[in-house]
Amino acid sequence: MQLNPSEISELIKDRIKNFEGAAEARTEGTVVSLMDGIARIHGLADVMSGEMIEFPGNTYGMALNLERDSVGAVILGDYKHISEGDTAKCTGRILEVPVGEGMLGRVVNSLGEPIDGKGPIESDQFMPIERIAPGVIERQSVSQPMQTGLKAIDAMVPIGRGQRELIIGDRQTGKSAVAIDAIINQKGTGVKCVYVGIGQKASTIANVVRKLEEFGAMEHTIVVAANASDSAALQYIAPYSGCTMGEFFRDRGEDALIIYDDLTKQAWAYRQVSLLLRRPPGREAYPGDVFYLHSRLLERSSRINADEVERLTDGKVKGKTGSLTALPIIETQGGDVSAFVPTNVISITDGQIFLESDLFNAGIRPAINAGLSVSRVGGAAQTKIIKKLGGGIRLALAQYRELAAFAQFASDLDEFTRKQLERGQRVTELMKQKQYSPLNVAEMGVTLYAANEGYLDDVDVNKVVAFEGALMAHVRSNNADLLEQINADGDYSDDIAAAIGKAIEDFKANGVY
Amino acid sequence: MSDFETAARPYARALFELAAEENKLQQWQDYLLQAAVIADDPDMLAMFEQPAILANELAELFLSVTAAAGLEADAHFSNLIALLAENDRLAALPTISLQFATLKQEAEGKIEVTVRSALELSAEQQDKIASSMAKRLGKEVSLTTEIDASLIAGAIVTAGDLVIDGSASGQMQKLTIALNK
Repeated sequence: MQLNPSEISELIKDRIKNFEGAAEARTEGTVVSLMDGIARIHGLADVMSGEMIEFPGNTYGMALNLERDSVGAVILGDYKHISEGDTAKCTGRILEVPVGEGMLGRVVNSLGEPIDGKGPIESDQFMPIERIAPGVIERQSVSQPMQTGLKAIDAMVPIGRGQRELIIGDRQTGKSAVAIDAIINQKGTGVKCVYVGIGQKASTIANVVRKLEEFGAMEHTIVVAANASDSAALQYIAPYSGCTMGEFFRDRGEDALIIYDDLTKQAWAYRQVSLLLRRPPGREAYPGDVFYLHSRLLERSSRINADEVERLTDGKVKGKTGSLTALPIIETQGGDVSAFVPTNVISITDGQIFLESDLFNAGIRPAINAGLSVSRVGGAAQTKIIKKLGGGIRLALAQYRELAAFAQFASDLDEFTRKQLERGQRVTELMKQKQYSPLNVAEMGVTLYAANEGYLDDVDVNKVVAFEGALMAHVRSNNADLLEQINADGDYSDDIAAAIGKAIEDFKANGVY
Repeated sequence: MSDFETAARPYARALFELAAEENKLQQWQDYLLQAAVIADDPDMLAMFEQPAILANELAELFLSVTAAAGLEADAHFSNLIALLAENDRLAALPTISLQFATLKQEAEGKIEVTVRSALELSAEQQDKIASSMAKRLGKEVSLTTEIDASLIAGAIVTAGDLVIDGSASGQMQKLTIALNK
């Protein structure tokens, strides 16, 4: 005879012991109509907007429309067993998800229930999925770097802890890859990660989880998955659930990173729910509050000051700031950033990383468009060495692209232009980076130094990638202490510059590539 | 069920105000109750949907039925029926009657409380429930009792949308959910 995992005597005893048998007073209503995951309920006189509603069979819904004679609610999950005339009860609670350290390493759905088959989650703390973002007084400006481990991003569009940086691009331009690399690079840094997959194939999520496990990044990561097969309501609330799980770490004075992959699909799910609730459609048939949909979510990613952390932890954590960095992803259609949702999210976030299919197809991966990608606050958060060495890269690359377009038709170029073009070609090559191979600050510093000081000028353009790979291997084995010194505080001085210069010269003299 | 809720509201409110002005609340409630029973009849409902019958004919027909049922109504009542017939809202009469009753109860500070219990309640128990509900809701309580053996033990108290479930079957249901989690 097969037993369920929940049928252990201890567990049953515990549940019976903790079972509250007191009579309960609740407001009830009757399901009047039910279609497409939306229930209309008559009654429920004192229901609150966003309140959890209990249906028969341990199913829950969320009250979204409070109308004069009925309540429109979305049902979270399966609704086949509910029928017209069933009773629906108020619970007096806003939708909550479990939070805590126990969530790390787990794959959960939008309600925080485990879907990875690893048994129940050890967490006794719950927090509501919709929370108010920290106010002005509680915040601190962004000043610490959130390293993604990608040269192109950390040098050109630096991201700070507590920042919101949008990753935008067409399909198949490596948006998720950038995000996954960022998660992998947080290994060993103490930054907790939350990956929220919205409207993706279950197989895609399984692949992401497998990759994270492979690179040992799953231990510090929570994956929240609302797959394409889940109801629109679950896809709609997934980012808020994930955000709450990330906020738990922020409020404890830790740093967390959250990826929303992707908010376009969440907007679609919300549009579906809204239209079914008969809210009036607006531009592109989205309801009137799509901006609020994303602004209230992204505003919760923030850096809070030590006083606020102390207050939130009842004085248990002192002198530490907490942060939640967000990397929302938006998929564009045919590179059109002027569509409704992309413009909204661009205006909400503190900058964007713009990925282009042309660059991607030309083999420049990550396919970052240096001209259109910006980071509005990250500059203040860069480590000294990257700031010093990577400062000119973005501008140089943008200028090179322009120049290259002109120079295509010119046969004889002056010496200066030719040099600039050649440097640009090499820097473009240098910004290429393989997936799942993030670099630390020191390695990045060495690479950027080589480009800045002209060490690449006599390297064949086709061999730049190989040169860089061999250089990295060389410094890792011969200059480990130098790398360690730079990684310790990211400081940059003449001594360090000289040491890096010497290491590169040493490699050029002896190394093979 | 809530189909006519919105449509019925202005009628119920207007009737209530009129009745309150003329101090004829109880009389109107009796009228409406009887009219509601007639309007709820399947044959009558079918009649309402006949496109061949004109509004004034329908009103006359309805009034003749009410008269035959022994309802001696005044001119106001026939005006109401004529108006409802004209606006094609005769089918909303049961809902109007219900809403009127609710408004009347509210104005009188009364509330209807239903107690479903597994066993018959003694007069003392009923008094106890009535007084504690009156205290909780701050209204005068009129109690109706029902016997429902399927509750096994205990009782369910219903007052409007508020439901207090103190039944054994309700607790067992909760226990089932708690154990299946």
